[in-house]
Amino acid sequence: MFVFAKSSLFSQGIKNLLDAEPGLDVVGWEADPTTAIKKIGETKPDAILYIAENSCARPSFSAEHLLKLGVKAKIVELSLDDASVYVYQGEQLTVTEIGDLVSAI
Amino acid sequence: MEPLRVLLVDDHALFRQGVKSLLDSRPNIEVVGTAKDGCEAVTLARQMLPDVILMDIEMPYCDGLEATRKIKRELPHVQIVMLTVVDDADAIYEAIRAGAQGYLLKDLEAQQLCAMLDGLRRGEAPLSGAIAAKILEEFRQMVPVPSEQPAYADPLSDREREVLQLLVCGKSNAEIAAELTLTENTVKTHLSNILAKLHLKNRIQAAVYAVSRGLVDAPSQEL
Repeated sequence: MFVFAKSSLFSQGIKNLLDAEPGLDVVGWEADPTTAIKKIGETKPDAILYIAENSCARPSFSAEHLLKLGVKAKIVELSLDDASVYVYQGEQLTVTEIGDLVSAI
Repeated sequence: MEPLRVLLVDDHALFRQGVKSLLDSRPNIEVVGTAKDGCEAVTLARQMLPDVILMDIEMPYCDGLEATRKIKRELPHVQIVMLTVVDDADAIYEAIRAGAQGYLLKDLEAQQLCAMLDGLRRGEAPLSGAIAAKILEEFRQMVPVPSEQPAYADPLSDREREVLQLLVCGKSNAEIAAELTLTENTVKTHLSNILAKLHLKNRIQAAVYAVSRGLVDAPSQEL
């Protein structure tokens, strides 16, 4: 797993929670989009968790942008606006517990 | 040392759980409760009497500013630190007015957050760098800078200008009084009015300001 969130505190918190889950290994987390893309290229995660903190997507780091870059990992977008998870390009789920997020991943 | 008892208030469940897991891993911090909005925060603050509340601002039902006002009114000893993505000057000002001891942005690292909480024990005010800069900028705008006051903003009367001219020449209050045929008390009153109008503190500042702004003639060499 690789975790990206604009809020560093949030990405660290999610990393901490995911690290405690069996079968998941968080290989990196980042708050800066440019560094995140570089790290994703280096660590080649199976899945990327992208936390969108408001409805305005960051053009420099979005699921669409990652897909355009040819990233092969599964992209999971967690929207904090409505606590929804979007698994590109697939289902939408509501998340209130870390277990819900783990299921989506 | 007793662990710092923290109440965490944020409307995002995963953020609460994530930050709680980060703080719980520190030996000197104990998260005694979490709340999803301001109303819950007020209720839990009464029940748990935490040392510190980490309070988000934008939350449904009762936002963090309103909750801070209520809690500080009822439990003034409880320290409240805003932890938010909101960085506009109005929110910062309102939080300070509401009684918040600190204002942190969520872009800080977990280690920084813990260091800020440690600082709180020592009486320090936890502030993100960007927030401290905004507060200083606001303060700078509120405090009048004498050199930036236009000379015509609050014009002096003819008599005050005469007093200022003699002050620039190094005359004492008694000498000014004698020269203008006034009492010394009247000269003192004129001087007080001059300082107030020009936002200055003393006669030295007044003299420098008057000459540099051309309000009076510079003293001649023999004076």
